[in-house]
Amino acid sequence: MENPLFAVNNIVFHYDHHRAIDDITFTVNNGEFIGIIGPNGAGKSTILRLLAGFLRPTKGFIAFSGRNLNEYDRRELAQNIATLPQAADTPFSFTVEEFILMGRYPHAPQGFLYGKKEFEFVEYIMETMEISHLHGRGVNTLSEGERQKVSLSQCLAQDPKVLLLDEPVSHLDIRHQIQTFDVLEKLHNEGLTIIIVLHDLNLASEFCSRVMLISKGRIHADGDSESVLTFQNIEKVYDTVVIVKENPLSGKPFVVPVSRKYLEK
Amino acid sequence: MKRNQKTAIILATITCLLVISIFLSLGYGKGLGTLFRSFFTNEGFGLILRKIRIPRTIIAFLVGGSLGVCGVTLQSILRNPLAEPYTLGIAGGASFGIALSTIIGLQQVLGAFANPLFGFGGAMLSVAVVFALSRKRFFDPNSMVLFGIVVSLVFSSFVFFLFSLLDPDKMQTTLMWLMGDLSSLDIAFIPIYIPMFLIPTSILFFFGKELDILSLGMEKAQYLGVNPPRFYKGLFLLSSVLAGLCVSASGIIGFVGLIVPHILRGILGAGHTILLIASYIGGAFFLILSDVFSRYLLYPIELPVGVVTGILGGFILLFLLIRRQ
Repeated sequence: MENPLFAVNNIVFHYDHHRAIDDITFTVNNGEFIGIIGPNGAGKSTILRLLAGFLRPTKGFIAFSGRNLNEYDRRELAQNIATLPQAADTPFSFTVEEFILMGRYPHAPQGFLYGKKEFEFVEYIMETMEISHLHGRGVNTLSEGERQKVSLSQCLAQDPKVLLLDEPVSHLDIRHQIQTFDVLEKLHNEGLTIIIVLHDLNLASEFCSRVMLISKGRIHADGDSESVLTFQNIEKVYDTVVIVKENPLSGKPFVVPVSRKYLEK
Repeated sequence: MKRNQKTAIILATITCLLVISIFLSLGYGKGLGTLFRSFFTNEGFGLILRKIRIPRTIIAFLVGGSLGVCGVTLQSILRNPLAEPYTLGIAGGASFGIALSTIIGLQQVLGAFANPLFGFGGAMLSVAVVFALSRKRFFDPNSMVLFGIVVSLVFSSFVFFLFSLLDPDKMQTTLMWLMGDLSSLDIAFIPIYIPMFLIPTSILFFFGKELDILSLGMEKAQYLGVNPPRFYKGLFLLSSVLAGLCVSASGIIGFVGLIVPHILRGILGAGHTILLIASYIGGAFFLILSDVFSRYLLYPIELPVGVVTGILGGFILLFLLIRRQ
């Protein structure tokens, strides 16, 4: 049988004395689109950073394509995994092309400048992401929505097998949120594996083929959105009363929090 | 392609400016013909040219270029466009070294070698302190800048402490040196300095791609396949050694490492591979030109070159900041 993309085995992770991840085990198969949800401080971003190889588990291990993640060197990892952290800004005004070109770093031969091939790849990514009109613009002059597309393009320039995203849409309006997810869905359909940390339960429900609900450093529920996004699960983990309905178009659950004033009646 | 042409034109322009400044520095007041002819004579101007002007221009070239490159490197790894070669406390350490060598009277023993040796030693001492402290914070840029400021302040206070013990006559050369001084370096240093300067600079030239990526911060840099701790350590040490060499050769010359990358980034864009080369040429030009000013502006009085770069650079920077608003 083919190795799973990620095999996470009993990992524990401590920040100083705080146990952020408390014995988690799961596997990720090729082609999945996983949404990681959970309250603030539950350990969502920590899981992502562990998968990305930025943090190393205190106990247990993560295998990527059958090999321990710790054995990969940075460059090799970056050829396979592209990660978009919450903060990746620069004080300098690189042009959009220069910025996306940095994604070619792990593939480009070592040397002074990037080759013609790398520039062509950037052009290709800019076309598929429909941002060719941003040619020559400084990244620090872009709107939030454009900037997000450019950051995503930088990840895609890495030509990765897996894309890890940490709350990529929480500061975008709904139009740009849906645009981003439409792009992600397209990439997923083309075979890219995507793992995304999300605050918005409805986006997770709508777009992710698998939802992982994290609570206090453990997996509370893991499965398709219908089985994970039940009002029982959500009320328990978030300590908030919610109504869960079915989206009439997609048939997926959607979640509406209930204000305290209606609870007292 | 258009962009490449623009880059080529700008690089060619600053190279021309550099060449002009070199001729000015070598042959101020003389025609080109006299300059070439006197080079081969053994008297009068020929002697001045070979013994004073050429060595001085070489040092200004090496120091100016290196300060430009150091500025670019530190601005990227500290993710701060206002960083400069002295941000990490090198100036304080170097001044301390010089003041110490003056007070224990080593200048009498070592002569011209005292300032370069002790300046470099002091610079490396402060670098070692900042490096050791930063290491515990995993080279977090904000902590590094803070450590640099603190270390620099502590050393400067020691310098003033030593000054308060010194006899005012002895302070003159030390003070000149603290304000940046291209005149007092012994020419015996030149053959040693050329490779010592050029080796770290040429290594830094090859890290343009990494500097681009490191400016995105440690986490993202790691995701793009750079190993940030290794590069932070390496680039930090290389640029510190280079800045220490600059300080040892010519004292503290402010603003070159700040203003040259700042202006060039504005016209060439942020890509570090080109910026490093351009800042080398631009830094060399700026310092050689400032040195010409320092020699002839109030002729026959010679100003410390650090005063000229400070005033000139300060006004240019102010102008740029006001215009941008």
